[in-house]
Amino acid sequence: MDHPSAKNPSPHSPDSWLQESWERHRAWVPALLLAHKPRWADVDDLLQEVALQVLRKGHEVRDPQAFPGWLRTLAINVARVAARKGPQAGWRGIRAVLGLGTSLSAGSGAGTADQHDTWQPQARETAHDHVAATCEHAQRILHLASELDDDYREPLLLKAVHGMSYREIGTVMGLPESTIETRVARGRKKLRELLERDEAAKKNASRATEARVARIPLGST
Amino acid sequence: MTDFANQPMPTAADVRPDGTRDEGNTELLLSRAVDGTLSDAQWASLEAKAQHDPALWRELCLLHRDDLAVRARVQQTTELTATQHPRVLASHAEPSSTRAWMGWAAAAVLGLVAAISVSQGGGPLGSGGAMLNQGPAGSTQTAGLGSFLNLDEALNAATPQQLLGRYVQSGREQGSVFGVMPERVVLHSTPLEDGKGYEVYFVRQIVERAHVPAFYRLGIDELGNAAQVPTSPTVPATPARPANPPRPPRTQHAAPGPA
Repeated sequence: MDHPSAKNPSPHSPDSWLQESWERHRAWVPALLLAHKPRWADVDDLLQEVALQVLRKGHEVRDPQAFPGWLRTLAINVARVAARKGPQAGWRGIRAVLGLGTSLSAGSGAGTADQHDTWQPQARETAHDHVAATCEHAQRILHLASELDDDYREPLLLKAVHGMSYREIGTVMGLPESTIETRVARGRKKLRELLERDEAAKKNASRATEARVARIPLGST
Repeated sequence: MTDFANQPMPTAADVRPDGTRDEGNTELLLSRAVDGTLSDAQWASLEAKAQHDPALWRELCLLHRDDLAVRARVQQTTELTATQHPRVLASHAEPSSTRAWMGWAAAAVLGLVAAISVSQGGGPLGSGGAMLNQGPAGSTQTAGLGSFLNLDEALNAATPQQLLGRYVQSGREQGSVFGVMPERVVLHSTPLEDGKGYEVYFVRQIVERAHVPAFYRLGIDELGNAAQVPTSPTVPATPARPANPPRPPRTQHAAPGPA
C-alpha cells in the first residue's frame, strides 16, 4: 500500500491518511481510556492529550496498518502518565496562578470526597430519578469493572463501543479474534461475580446494621 | 442437515482437537447469547443445559442487563467526547489567520475608541499582545479615533497580536478575562530551511470567566437516549473568607463606691 505522505510531503498540512485514520479509530479511544484511566481522571482531558500526541507524533507511524496498535499504546501511556501525576495535578497550577487557592474543599457544595480527596458532585433531587438510578447502576458496573484484570477489562469495554466487532478489537489489541471473544466472555462472567459479591456484602452490612438497631432497647437515651 | 450458512465462524475456544465443535462451553454460549450471535444449534445446546440448570436463564438475564449498563456508560462517554474533538487535525492544517478574531475584535473596537495601543500585563498571565507606540518611561500613545477612516481600516491595520492584546485588555477591564497562560502547548515543529529556527504550531490558552445559569451532566433516559440532568458544579468554589468578627464593645465598669 503506497504511503500517501510520500506523494504529498507538505510541511504545512498533516498527512491525509493520518486524518482519515484518526477519524476512523477515535470512536474507541474513550472506551480504552475508561479501561485504563485512574478513577478520578476525566476522559475528555485524556482524550485531548491523546489527540495532541497524535498531532505531535503521528508522523512517526510509517505504516497506516500499524496505526490502531500505535494509537492504543499511546492512549494507554496517556492514562498511565495521568495516574502517576495524581488527581487534579493539571488544575492545581492554574488555580495557583489565578490566586484561587489549591486546596479542594467539599464544604461549598453538595458532594462527597472519595479516597483521593477529590470532590464528586451529587445530582440534585429531580424528576429524573429513574435516569439517575440507571446511571447509578452503570456507574457501579464501571466501578467494579476497574477490579478486573486489564486483559479482561479492556476488550470488555471496547466491545461496548457501538459497532465494534471482535475482529476489530483483535486488530487494535494485536490478538486473534477467538482470544478476544473468550476474554470478553470471561470478563462478563467475572464482572457478574463481582456484582453478586458486592450485593451480598451490602446485604450483610444492612443485616448487621438492622441487628444492631434491633438490640437498642426502646426508650433509651 | 446442518445449516452452515447461519452459523458463525468456529473459534478456538469451541473446537475440539478432533476438529468437531464443542457446544459445551457455557460461558461462551451465554456471552454469544448476550451478543445475539448464537446459532440455532448453539441455542439448542444452551436450552439443553438449562433444563438441568434453570439458573442459567437468570444468569443470562443478568449478564444482558450488565452488558446494557456497560454499553450505556461507554457510549455516553463516547458521545460526549465525539462532539468536542471532531476536527483536531483539520484545525492544525489551517494556518493562523485574523478571521478567527474578527467577531469579538469588531465588538471590542466598536464599543471603544478605535485605538490599537496595547500593554503587557504585569502578573503571571500576560496580555498576549505586543507593545505598540510606546512613549517615554513606558507610557503608551493612543491613536485617536480620527486616525482611522472607518472600522474596517482600523481592523485591517491591526495585527493578530495587537487584536488579541486588545481583547485581553478589554476582557480584563470587564472582568471576563484573566489573561493568557504563559505556557504554550506545542503541537508540531519543523526546522526552517535556512537553519535559523523552527516553524512551530502551538496552542495559546486564555483563562476566562463566565456566569452560567446552571450545570448539567449527561444522563440516559428510559429509552437509552442522552438526557440533561441538573447537577452541582464539579469544581468547588473557594470558600469565602469569614469577615473579621466585630470587636466586642468595651464594658464600662462603675467606679467603686465609698467603703
